[in-house]
Amino acid sequence: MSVPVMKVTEMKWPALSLLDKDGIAEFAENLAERYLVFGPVAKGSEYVFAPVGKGEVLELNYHTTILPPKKLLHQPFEVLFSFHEDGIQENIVEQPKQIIFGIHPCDVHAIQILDKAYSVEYEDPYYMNKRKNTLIIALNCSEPAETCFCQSLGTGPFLKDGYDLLLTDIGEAYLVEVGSEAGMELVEAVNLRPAARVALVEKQKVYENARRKFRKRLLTQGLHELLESNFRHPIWEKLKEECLACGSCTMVCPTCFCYNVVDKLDLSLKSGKRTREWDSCMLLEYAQVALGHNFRKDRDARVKQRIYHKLLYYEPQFGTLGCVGCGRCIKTCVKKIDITDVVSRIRGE
Amino acid sequence: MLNPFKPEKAVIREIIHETADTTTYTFSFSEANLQKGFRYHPGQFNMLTIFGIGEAPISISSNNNMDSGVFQHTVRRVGNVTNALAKMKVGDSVGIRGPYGTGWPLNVLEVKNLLLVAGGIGLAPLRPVIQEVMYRRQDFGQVELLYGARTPGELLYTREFEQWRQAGIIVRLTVDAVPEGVTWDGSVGVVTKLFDEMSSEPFDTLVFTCGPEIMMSFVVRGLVNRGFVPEQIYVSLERRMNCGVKKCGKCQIGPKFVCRDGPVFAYAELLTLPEEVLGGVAG
Amino acid sequence: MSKPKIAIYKMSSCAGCQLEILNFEPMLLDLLGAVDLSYFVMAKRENEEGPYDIGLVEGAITCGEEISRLKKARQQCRMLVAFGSCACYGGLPSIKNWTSEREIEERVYPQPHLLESTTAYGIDHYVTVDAYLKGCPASREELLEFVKGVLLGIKPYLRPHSVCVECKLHENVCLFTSQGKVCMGPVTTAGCGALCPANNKPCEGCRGPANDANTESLARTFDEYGLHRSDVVRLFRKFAGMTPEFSRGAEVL
Repeated sequence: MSVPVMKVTEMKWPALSLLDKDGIAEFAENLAERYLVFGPVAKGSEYVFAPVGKGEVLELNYHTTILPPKKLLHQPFEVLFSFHEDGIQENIVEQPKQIIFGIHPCDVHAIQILDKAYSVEYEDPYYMNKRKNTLIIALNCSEPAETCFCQSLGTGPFLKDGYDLLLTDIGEAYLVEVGSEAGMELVEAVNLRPAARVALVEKQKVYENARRKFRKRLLTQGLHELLESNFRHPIWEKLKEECLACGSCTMVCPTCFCYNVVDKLDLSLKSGKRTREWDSCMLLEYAQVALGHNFRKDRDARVKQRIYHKLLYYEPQFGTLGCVGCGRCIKTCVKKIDITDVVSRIRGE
Repeated sequence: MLNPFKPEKAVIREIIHETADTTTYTFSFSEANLQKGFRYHPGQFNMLTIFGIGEAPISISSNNNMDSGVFQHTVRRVGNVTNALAKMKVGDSVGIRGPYGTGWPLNVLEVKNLLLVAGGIGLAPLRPVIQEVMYRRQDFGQVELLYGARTPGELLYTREFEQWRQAGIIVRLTVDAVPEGVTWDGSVGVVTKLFDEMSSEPFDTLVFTCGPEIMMSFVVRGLVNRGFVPEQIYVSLERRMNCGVKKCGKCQIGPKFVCRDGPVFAYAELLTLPEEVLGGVAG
Repeated sequence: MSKPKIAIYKMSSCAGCQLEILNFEPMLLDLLGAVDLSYFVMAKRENEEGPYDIGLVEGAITCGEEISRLKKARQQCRMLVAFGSCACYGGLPSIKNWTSEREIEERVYPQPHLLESTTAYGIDHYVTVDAYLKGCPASREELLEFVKGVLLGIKPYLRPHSVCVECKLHENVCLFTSQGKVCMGPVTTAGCGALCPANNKPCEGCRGPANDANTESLARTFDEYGLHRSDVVRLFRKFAGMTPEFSRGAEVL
């Protein structure tokens, strides 16, 4: 992991540079020679983080991706180890260095939350192995989507730390800021135009402009008390009727970390693999134990679990809210269940 | 990097059939050093792997102090892993990682009198507490066990009851039903029925209970009605677990991870959670 | 356990599920190493007599003759499996269940007096069933998991949740929310690898209701998307209209 340098950043790496928009492709290609580079590319009408071989497929004007870049660190499917009669072979390989290019501030914040979840007390070697070999080239958001509400949670639209490089679209070019030693090496390897400090004024304008474009908000003031005192609010009964319990909201969430473990045996029945894949508290089987007892049999209990975990339980667990306002759960919900709307309805707005 | 998900090989040394569906297995790690360094507290659990079948959290039913280079699990056949284990024999090996979780607050709190309330397989994580009491009997005052099972044939560790009684532990038994042809001179009814005849009183007593969640909810309610306070009652919870190390998320109740913050909780702590546990809830 | 003997029975069906066994190709030999396909009329000229360890029944039960063959199959097999959605729920043949038997018979056959068709049911309407392998066709991978489960004496892991979960795990574009195409994915059992949505076709519900399928709510959304009531009914009755969940979805509007 590149160590994010905070306030010191500006003193240590005062140089601001500019990356021309038509130079993005070349820049990405250059990086791809030394790193596995993942960036937003089009998939049908949506975007996904995918390997960027040729820079021109990068779609830096994307709003959001179907799955968060979490998938590059905590994979949807992962082999933990293989086993055979002689023993166990752990699937922890030498990890190639990878770059997440064009990741938005909300998703960077989500990774910082996952960093805590996957390192608290016991380190998850599969996650950490990838994380330590990942560089972050973040992209500040100048055009929030209609489902975005990062501004309410302080996780966007602009990023303050947690990046190796930070790009901001300031019109004719991207302003490039350095956030780490590793980021410095990335810019030194290519020829970037130096930027005058006045570019920061441009950046501020883009920020102010972006801030005004948010259509959703989630008021965090007094949120804990609000949720604690509304566990029996009639809204849960309504959501129980509406929710399809399909699990989509949690599958696309950048801070969800739950997984299920399944052993897959070869037909020989002598060898096989232990695998894990993303799981979801929205699913009926999630809280069911061997004899069949289910601790969250009712759909409203599961709907509540998701929302309470994000907005109430993450804080005592990891010292931060569990929602970064990326809006994916809202966008993906067939029933248009909207976490911001749920909170405002509880507030009686 | 240390891999907390990698089970270590452990060999079945002995198999003791407790009841029709429950068996106590004695294990030791194949690697002598691992076995030597394996220290645990009463109430902790291990993740037990049968390769190719899966992994399940199982409480440890033995006590470190009795350490003879082995540890025990008492397992009821309820799912894939436990059914597969039931087919194994002495000399076969399984995967073990642990110990995990908090355990009973024996070394944390000053304990004088102990009231243990167990139902069915729930006695397994309390057996190490009884063994701890026998190991250092002078540290404890009155120790009483209330134990219920469905039928006399489903009581665990019956061969050890005499030893427990000899150590001055009060053992009171009850069963839900007595099948025809079975002689039974103990009590009949749910475990809370034993409250009427128990010797324990709230003063200077800690209560440890483990059993089906519905049983425990009656136990805590019954005790509170008899003047016990939630702060002196400890319960051991069962939840689904895929990791044991706060990663897979399955076992969460409110902000608590049962695998790490539990499985033993003070009942008072559970009462602060928004989600209902044992029939209690905040506010 | 020694190699289990498997028998494959065909009822009212297209034979697509048994064809899947042949489609195993690279895995077929491995499978044959683990089991004996003792009775498999589609693939073999010489078939063994029962009893068998596992009976895979393909197809819905739609006439008296099938009822008696099914009961015989039950007697011959230690485990009986509903193999594919027709055997699980009545499947495609069950679309006839909401029209009178005579009208259907006349529509299909020139001499309807020669037959006596009955309501199309899944096989558990008549016999005890040990396992269900859903899908149209049934999934090869799930069959394999099931066979391994039998060999090991365990319950295999078959996905109980919605198709949406697999769709997301594979990062498919959501046809429902992104393209406005109505999709049965949110209430349908996964295990198919979200095959249809991955190929740009909405889920048609062939694998029947998922765990906790909230079909009433989905039907209301279909309505909001402008689907005619009769189209909603058709969507829910295409494969598993006889299940309580899909039947509620068909009838809520």
